[in-house]
Amino acid sequence: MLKRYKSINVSLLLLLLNMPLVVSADDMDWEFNGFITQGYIWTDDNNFYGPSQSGSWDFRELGINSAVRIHDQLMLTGQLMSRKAGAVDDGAPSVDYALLDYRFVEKQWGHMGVKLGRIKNPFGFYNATRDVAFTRPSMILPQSLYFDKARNLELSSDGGMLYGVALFDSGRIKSELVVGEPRKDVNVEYAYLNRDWPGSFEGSEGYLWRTEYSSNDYSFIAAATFGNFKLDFEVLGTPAPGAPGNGVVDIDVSALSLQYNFDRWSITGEYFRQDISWGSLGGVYGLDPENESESFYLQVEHRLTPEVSMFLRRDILYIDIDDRDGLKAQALFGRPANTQYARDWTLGVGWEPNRDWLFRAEWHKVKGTAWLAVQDNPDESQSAENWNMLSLQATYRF
Amino acid sequence: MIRFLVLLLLLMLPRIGLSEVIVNTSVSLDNVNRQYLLSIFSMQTRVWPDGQPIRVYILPPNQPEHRSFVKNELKVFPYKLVKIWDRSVFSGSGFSPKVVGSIDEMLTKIAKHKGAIGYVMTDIEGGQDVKTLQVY
Repeated sequence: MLKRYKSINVSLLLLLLNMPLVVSADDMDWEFNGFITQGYIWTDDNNFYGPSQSGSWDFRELGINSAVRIHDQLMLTGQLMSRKAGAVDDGAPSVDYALLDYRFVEKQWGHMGVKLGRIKNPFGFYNATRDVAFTRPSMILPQSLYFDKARNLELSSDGGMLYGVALFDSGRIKSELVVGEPRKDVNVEYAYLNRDWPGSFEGSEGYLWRTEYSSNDYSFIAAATFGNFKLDFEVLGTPAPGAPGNGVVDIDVSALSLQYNFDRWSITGEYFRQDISWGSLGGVYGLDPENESESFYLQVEHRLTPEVSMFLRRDILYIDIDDRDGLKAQALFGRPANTQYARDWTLGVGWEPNRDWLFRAEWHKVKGTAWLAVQDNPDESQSAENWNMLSLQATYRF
Repeated sequence: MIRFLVLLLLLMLPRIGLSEVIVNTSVSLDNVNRQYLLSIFSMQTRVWPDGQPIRVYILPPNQPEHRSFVKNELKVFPYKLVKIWDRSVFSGSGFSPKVVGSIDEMLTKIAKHKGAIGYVMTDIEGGQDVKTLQVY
């Protein structure tokens, strides 16, 4: 199933790249956009995006996209992405999205359409463009919600989306429903099973439904996201004692997002709940067949000038709401308690001298290591509970 | 004398920064509400009700004329509109507006291209080849 989707996406992309270059931009809607981001990370303890304790340049994002109107109501669009982030992402190019978007209703009261192909997962405020620096409020998105260690599952799905927007006197409501096969890789195994076990996630299916209300002038925005993912884990032969066997990891997600915007201030908060059930896998996961994690952040952003902004954010993650201090995980599984939570204070500054460039600097003061990638921190018994991180970023768009 | 100058200034004030929406003469609508206009300029609506593609023209987003149009006519913060464009373009949900260098170029493009929409300052002459769209 996955292979078939892949070939559809590749042919969509080939079609996109082979369109004749002779049309003038005004007679036909056809455009290219791209960006490149380079980051630098330094941490006093633990590693983020590479060996950051000695300073890491191991963070790079590159994206190129194109969109073309192939018929009045039909758009073809796709984006190629390369991302290097420590031991989590190796920089190999992948198709971020590639889709056909057909608008079957376009009225003054709103519109409706359908997308087919590889579609960005609409989740919270930032997920659909999480790898595009100048759409983010900070260099590193709040890791409690937008954790980078299980990115693929969250990035995009191969399937279809139905969407609609209704305009009212007071504002607008936008609703999107994606049904399909979410992307997954070994990082998803690290994130949900804590290491690369024998066997792998073979099939997956899921849906995400996101509805957003925004007031007329976008000064108030509220969004709710609900979804479910089912990941099929398959092992050849009999699993070793303690290792997961054949079964399904079932993940329910729900998120509430709120934002107030003023001329110079923006206040943003999001709350996220994830219910994970892996009882059918057996192994050590059979001991803890259900798990509810909780994430939330509150961020205040101030625009000093149109070019310069600052923000302060508090971001909190609990892997298990029944074990917020991590002591049960320590007693049952011998894992350090600090791997079960992360409480992060972030202070950041951004400078956008013009539309092409963006620079950011951020300071994180973190207690806990719950969102650190095991791939970059293989020995969790060595993890430090209290740590600091400095991150710098430059982005150019074209 | 000072009173006269102040009066003159007050009379002139409402004209400063006022802009109006212009469209290609192929567009059949004569008036639109503000929500729909914002949906067009935020690149969410792609097709006119009569089925022809919408082509949005703007001045460079950092220019005072653009910022004034966005604040006074669309009634949204200019930074918010830029974010909406970026999120839409980089998630496979829409096109970018076409940026022109001057009001003259704006008038030329809108006169020439079917389904085109843009804006001019109200005191600009020479809009005979384009149509004004009333906003209510």
